[in-house]
Amino acid sequence: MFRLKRVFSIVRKEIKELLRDKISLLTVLAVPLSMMLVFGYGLKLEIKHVPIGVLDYDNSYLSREILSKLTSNGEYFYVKRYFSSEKELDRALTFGEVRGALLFPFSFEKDFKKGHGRFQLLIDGTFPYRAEVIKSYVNAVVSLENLNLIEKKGLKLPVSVKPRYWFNESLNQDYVVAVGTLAVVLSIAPAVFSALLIVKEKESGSIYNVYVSSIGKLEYLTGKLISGFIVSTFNLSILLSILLFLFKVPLKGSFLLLLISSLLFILVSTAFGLLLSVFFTSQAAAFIGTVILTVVPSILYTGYLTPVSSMGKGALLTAHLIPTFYYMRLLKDIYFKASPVKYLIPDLLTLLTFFLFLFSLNYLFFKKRER
Amino acid sequence: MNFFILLYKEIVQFLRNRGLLLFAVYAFTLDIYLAATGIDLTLKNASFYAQDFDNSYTSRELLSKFPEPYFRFKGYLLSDESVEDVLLKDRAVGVIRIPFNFEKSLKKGDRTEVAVIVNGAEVSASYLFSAYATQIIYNFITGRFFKPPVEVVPRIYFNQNASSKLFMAYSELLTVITLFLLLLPAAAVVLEKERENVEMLTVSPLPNIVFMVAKSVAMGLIVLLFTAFALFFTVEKVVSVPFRGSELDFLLLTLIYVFTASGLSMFIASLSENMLQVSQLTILLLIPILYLSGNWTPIEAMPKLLQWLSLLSPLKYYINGALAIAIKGVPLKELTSDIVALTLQGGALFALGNYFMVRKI
Repeated sequence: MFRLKRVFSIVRKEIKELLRDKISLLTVLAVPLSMMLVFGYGLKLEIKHVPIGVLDYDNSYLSREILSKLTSNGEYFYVKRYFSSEKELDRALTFGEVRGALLFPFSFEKDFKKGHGRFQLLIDGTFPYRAEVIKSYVNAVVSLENLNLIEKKGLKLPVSVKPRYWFNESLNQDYVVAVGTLAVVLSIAPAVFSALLIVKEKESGSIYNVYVSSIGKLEYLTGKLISGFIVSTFNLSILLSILLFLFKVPLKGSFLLLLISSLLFILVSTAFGLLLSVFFTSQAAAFIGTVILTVVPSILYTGYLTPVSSMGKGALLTAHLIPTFYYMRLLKDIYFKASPVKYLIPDLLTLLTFFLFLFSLNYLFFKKRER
Repeated sequence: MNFFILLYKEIVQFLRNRGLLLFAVYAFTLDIYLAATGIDLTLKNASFYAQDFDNSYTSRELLSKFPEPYFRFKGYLLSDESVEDVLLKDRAVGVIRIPFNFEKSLKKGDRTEVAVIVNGAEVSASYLFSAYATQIIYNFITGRFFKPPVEVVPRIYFNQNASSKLFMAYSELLTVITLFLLLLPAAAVVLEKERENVEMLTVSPLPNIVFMVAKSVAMGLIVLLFTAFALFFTVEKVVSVPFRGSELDFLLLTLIYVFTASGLSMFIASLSENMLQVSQLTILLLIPILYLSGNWTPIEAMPKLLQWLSLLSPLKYYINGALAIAIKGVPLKELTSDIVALTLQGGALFALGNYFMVRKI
């Protein structure tokens, strides 16, 4: 017999326990909040204020001109130090004093007057993305300078290239990161909270009360699920407010759809945490397992930082096994593309299937006796 | 002697916790492998389509200039609806649109415009895609008219192909080390509290401090062993990225870091009464430590206040030193400033953390 009364007595017990435990209550609210703020605000993929070094053997008008073009707006590069030998420069690159360096050879201007001047750009490759962006900045500045030099000779290039950004017209990467962070946070926080809900009773021994009581498996699990769901829904309201009012990410689609998909995803995430709680007998194991199984996959296989279309076949296949993949797609569709509902329904149904599947696994593996 | 018995007890207790052991093995092997081979912020296999209205020899030659493995050409699109469709469904990072009479205009010198349409809902790829594509198109066209008067020759130090594998393998290893060091000692202590073993300890002849230090040392040893395993096996053999410095230097640096991080773990333990608190506080500490280490966002790009705060993140010094050893081959003795900072922080945190813990009991 499935009795709602028993379900809600579990919910009441969990909520009361949390409310009485001030430190837990505070940290349970603070964890998703801090993740959202730190990664939403702080994860800057724009590369700015790169300290560079200069070794100018040529010391000519042209070398200074190029240097000033690179550093003039002060936003991307600034000259940290001028060097007089390659040895010093190598040391500075090795110890991270400068991230990149320009090396103008003796005959730079002379070669240029003959038709082709070359200089070197040395980059610290420790952080590959940073290295690639620095390279692309310098390339762009040099191209522009080339066009200027040619125009002085009276030539003009007949073609222009025009980049246009769809869905996010000013290419505000902070918006994309902020929305993606919501998906990552909701994969981790609700799962971590619910991962302890059952195993804590196993470790303290109070699970025996459950074993001997008249409460059914389904009632017990549903009670735990709802407790986790309530706590995470409260957190969701905070996270959405941050997204809408603090980060001010413009929402192009419907708020209702955003809410429905988020609530559905919280159910999936909570059921996943609960499953680890059913499986393990130590809280430390359940916790660390949840963190490891949620953090990397939710960043790696979801298009959070790298495009889904760049994934190989194997990675794409794995991605389809991870619920965050669908939620991330829903979020981006609703937030940036205002996709029509018919595009979203398959993903919503997939999330629902994930939830039903995970919850049935919970039911299947939870035993009302000691193993 | 007593200390070693306690040490033995902690290690046995860890090994008997099969779930924990399972995840430790997973974290130091498969997790690092997945992150190293999967997370790549540089432009790789960026799928793109072309909307080629010209369909001439020149336009096809232009499209052939987009090199693999940076780009991956997926095919031609005819209508604007299909452009919208591939971008809506995230099937491409961008579309290159070449206008009618592109070839003719080029020959006659008339004005014409190539459009690069980029899916702005991607993070790192959208910027790099448009930057590279623009560069390629300009180079292609300028190359037909004149030799560029100034050329820049880029050379990337320490990591010639700017391969993300190298960076991500070490970065994930250091993250996993930090996670385990923050959690394990605190979990070991709080478990005793939850089981009410602590009362027994306080009445035992052993001083409390010995008990606490044994826990930190035991967990530190375990993490150090796993680190060595991950370094020699996962990183060097499975992910197979080069290790330029000395492995011993790397492990010595890790040893110093073990004290710093387990000191922090003792703080967590002194604040917590149950595992829920431990777990939440671990994440709460882990996030700023990770962020302020400069692993994700370069420190020089952070706001001033955060730049100062980053001096507090022990992971910052550890990452600096560890990457210098692993990627650049710098010997340990050249890293004095990082070692001094880490040792000072470690000494203080370890002493304070254990002191607080003992006082709480």
